[in-house]
Amino acid sequence: MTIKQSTVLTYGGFRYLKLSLLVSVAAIAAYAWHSPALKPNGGTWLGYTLGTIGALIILLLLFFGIRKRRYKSNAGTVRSWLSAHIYLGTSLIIIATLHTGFEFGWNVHTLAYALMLAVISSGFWGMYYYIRYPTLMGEALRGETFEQHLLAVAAIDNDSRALAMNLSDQLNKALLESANSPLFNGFWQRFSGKNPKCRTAAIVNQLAESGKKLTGEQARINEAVYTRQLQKLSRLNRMREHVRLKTSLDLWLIFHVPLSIALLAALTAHIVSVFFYW
Amino acid sequence: MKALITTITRSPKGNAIPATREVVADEIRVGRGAECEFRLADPRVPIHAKSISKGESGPQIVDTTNQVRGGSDERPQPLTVGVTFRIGPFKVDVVEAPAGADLALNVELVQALPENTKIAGKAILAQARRLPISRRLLSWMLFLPIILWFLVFPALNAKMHSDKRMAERGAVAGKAQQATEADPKMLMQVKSVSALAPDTSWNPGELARGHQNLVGGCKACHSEPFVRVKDEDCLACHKSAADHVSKQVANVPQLAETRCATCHIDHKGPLALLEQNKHYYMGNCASCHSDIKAAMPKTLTGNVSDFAKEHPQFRVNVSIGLKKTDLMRVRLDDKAKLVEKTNLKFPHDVHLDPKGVKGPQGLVKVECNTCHKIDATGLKFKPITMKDDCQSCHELRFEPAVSSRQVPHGKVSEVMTTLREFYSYVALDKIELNKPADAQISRLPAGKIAPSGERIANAPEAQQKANAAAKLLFEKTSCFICHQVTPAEPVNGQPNWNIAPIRETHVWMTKSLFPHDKHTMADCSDCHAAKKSKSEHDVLMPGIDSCRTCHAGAKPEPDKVVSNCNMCHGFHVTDHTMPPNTPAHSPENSARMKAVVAANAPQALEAKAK
Repeated sequence: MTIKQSTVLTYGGFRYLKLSLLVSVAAIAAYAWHSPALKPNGGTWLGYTLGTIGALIILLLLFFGIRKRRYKSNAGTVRSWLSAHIYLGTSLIIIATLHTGFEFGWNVHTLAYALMLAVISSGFWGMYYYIRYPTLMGEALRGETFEQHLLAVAAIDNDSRALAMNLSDQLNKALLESANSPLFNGFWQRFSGKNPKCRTAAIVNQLAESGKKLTGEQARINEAVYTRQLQKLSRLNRMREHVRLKTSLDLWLIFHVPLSIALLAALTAHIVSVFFYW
Repeated sequence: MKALITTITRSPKGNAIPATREVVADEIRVGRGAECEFRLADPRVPIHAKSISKGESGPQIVDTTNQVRGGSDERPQPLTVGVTFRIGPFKVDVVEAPAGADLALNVELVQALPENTKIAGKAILAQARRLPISRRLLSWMLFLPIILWFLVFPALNAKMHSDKRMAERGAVAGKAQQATEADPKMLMQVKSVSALAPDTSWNPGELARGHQNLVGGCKACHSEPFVRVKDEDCLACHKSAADHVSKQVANVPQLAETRCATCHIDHKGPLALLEQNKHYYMGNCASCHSDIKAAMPKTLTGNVSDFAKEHPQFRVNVSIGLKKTDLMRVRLDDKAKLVEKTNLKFPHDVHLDPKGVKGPQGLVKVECNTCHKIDATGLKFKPITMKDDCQSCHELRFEPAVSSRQVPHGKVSEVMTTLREFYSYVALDKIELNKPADAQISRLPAGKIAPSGERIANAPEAQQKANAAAKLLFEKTSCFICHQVTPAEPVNGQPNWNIAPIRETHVWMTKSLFPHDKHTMADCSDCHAAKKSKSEHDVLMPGIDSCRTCHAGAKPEPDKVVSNCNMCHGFHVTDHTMPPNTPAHSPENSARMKAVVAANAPQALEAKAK
């Protein structure tokens, strides 16, 4: 039996998809039916109506940022809010475009429209990540948790250090430093998921080299430590991939949130200016 | 020597869990190395850290960390009870040794490796979330410039200049007028009035061509914040724009809601206003005019819903006096009142006789356009003049037998002077008036001036002849044909006549425009029954039925032209009786409108009819 999992997209039997489609179709129908003097624009009665609906939807979507932090709130589940956020946000493309009447220019009005489209685009980007990346992140860790990987790495480190007690101070120092070194050196490595200065990788190379020179018991220990460090490196790379995906998952918000705040500013300027010079 | 080493670990609650082992050796090596008797398995402990041996005064310890580099120069430290020392993260206490043992040590790891995996895992994931710039900071970095540049600065700018706005608007309007009238360079100056205005970013679209000199001068039109563009703002420049219903005629509340900008919407491109002016974009005439009496109980205007379905018979201006303003609007149905007062005798039927009308050179075929010539506007006709349109037939000769000379078409005194001159000359030169005409007689030949004594001597005869000719001209032949002539008191002993002044022509239909040049496919007689008109009092304007033969209403009909209100009517009702370019809102026009309204009031019309 397959368990069909409900997502934010299918939430409540596509409740908000239906609502958004209804609003969009109604807006298109009204636009087609409306024959304003001159040509359609934001200043006709339909223009004002669509503008008001659009502005209210934008405020509702902005409120999602507040709602999701109100853990005690009972005003709908966050899941429900997110579902509405996605579908109503998408319907804004239609409502706001019809509100413009396809009149664009180098002014604050088109700035607000462009910012709105930018916010929606970054939202689509984020939505794609939210649907795709959790699976990839799970796959990257091969079914284990991040902490299990950390414990395994710590165990390998302990084991390696125990084994390496009789090996050189230099190696012991390197093992100790690698145990305390971060996954990534610098922010941008989190986007590539690779750390060229990985100390474990350096130790693996070092052990491979020293293995050629050693003999007997020392060579056997060296190989044992080498095997463990190779295992550690493999785990580290999986963790790095996981963190890379996690970073991307969080990255879109650095566009989505500030752009939406910029939209709030431009929208305010748009509305005030329109009525200031009515 | 024999040593008891107790390793103390701690339970989660912190209780000590000791584990003791016995070491027997001459030298007890302390370090990380596997060969050490007292092994401390921690990477922070050197491979060979210390060495414990039995000294002269009991157990002693010496540092061996650097032994490989040439031996320790440290003195051995005695290990008496109570001594405590550190080796890496370990704390070692010397305690009372039980019987049989030389030394007892308690060892405890007091500095664990900082590798609490839970904390490490969280830290790594938290690090993954940590972006080089916070969303909050980035949000402020975007929010503040946008709100400042696009809202606060423009609004402050507008607010700061609100006191100066009238002066500024005056300057802009004045400069605009000068610029368009005289110096195109002025346009640049107008633009620079507030070229740096931050509110330019609020401009939703390109201004109309005629308003482009106002770019950057928003307040020229948007004079008051959060108030729609006011009519006064438009009228500051457009002084001659006429109202739909003049305020002097009536105060129509419905019209008060209709602003200039209700129909004339700017910011729609350079040619948009021109296009809008051709149509009633926002207008729905029928919304008021289909039941105009409901809105305006006293109005004389009839209800109109559609030209084909419901439109009253036309009203035409009929002259009721000789003054320019002596006009009365009369419906074409009202035949009793439909009498044009004019002092000219002019039967159209005689002139338009298909066989021709008698002229000096025989029969002349007269067409409408022989006299009525369309002027350059295509809307009206050039004024008819005696010289251009009548005199070729209606000659003013007085001695046709002997002379082609004519009296001037002017004052009685001028006519008398001409006649006296002529007959004096005739008398002096002893010209026989019964002889056939001599072409030279019309002019006084050079060198033939009669001596003054002779002129005086012949005067009585010439005077009598002139008077007789004048009587004939005024009362029987020329003047009398067209004018109302009555004898008057003699002036300076000379006969005199009163010629009734001719009522000037006027526009018949003042509330609509009829372009004659667009109707040349029809004969004049299709609309104007001039060929059957026997009297100058006839009003030859066609009624609505005549128009309806070709013009449908708003709904298409076969073989007819779809005709909306704006095909014939303008919204801004201009008064054709006013001289051109008279500002609609000027005091003189207001006074005039009052007079017209008073003259057209029902009581006034009744009084005049009596």
